[in-house]
Amino acid sequence: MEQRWNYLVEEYQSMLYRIAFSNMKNRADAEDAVQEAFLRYMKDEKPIQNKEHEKAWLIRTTIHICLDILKSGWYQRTVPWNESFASATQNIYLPYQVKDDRTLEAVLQLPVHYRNPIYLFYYEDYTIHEIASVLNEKEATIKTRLRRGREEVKKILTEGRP
Amino acid sequence: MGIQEVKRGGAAPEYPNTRKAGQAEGFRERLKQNMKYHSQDKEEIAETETQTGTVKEKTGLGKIGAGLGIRVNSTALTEALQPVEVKHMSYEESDNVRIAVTEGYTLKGKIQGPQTQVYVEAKYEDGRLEAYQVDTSKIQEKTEHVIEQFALETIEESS
Repeated sequence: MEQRWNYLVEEYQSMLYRIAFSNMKNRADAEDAVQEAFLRYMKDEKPIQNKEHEKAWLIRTTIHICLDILKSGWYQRTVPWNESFASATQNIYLPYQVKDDRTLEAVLQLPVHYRNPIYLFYYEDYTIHEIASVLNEKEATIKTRLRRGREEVKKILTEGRP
Repeated sequence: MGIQEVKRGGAAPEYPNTRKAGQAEGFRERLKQNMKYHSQDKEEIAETETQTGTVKEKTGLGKIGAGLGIRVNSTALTEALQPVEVKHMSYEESDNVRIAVTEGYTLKGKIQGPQTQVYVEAKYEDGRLEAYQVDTSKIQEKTEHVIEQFALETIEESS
């Protein structure tokens, strides 16, 4: 049990934390979401087919947990808008150097249906096929969201609004 | 009765034509001016198209990277650039990463063997993946080719 937990943490923690942070935009909630995803995975009785399936399951669950937290009445009442948003990009430790923080900040301001595909495609280097599988959407839908999301990012960068 | 008669009487019209000779000339001038601007516009458009055509010839751009020198196909290959099989290299394995969200592509670069060879992997918004082996010693000075520029950047970053 402990071995499995250690494996999960070592293998996926950083990546899941970044995905959670891109949704929650604060460290504490992102960490909570990742922990909850790991717990659900440990409790899950369903057999995991392979590593790709395991990874997709964890990403999907993390995103769902984040969205559930964001939608909850408690969260909306207690967390002010834009809390810690200014330092959002400083809390995402990507495994490579991001030369353009403004664009990442703009991506984090996108509505969720654009944000997750864009973030996974560009910053986690997922393919369209993988994103479609993780988000339970058609590949064509993901392509459309990538295109429209990119236009929204441009608007944010030029006009300063999502 | 009931039929309205229209007569062209000899009386002076209610709104007499007050146009003067000078005004007609003014109109002609404006028209000439407009035509001049119009032809200038056409020339500019033609010039832009020619320029775009030149870029297309040089880089073989497709719809996504149009104007950016990104979408490279066989016609775009330069002396320094050769297409190779995609290795599916991760960001962690790369020496240099460029994330161009607003342009719709990502680039990953890794120096290979001698310090002049760079493997570059490009991923486009439509899902296409392309890979190139770039011999930076063959890149022309002040190249505008994005893949070549990125390969040079990769060498610079590592040194």
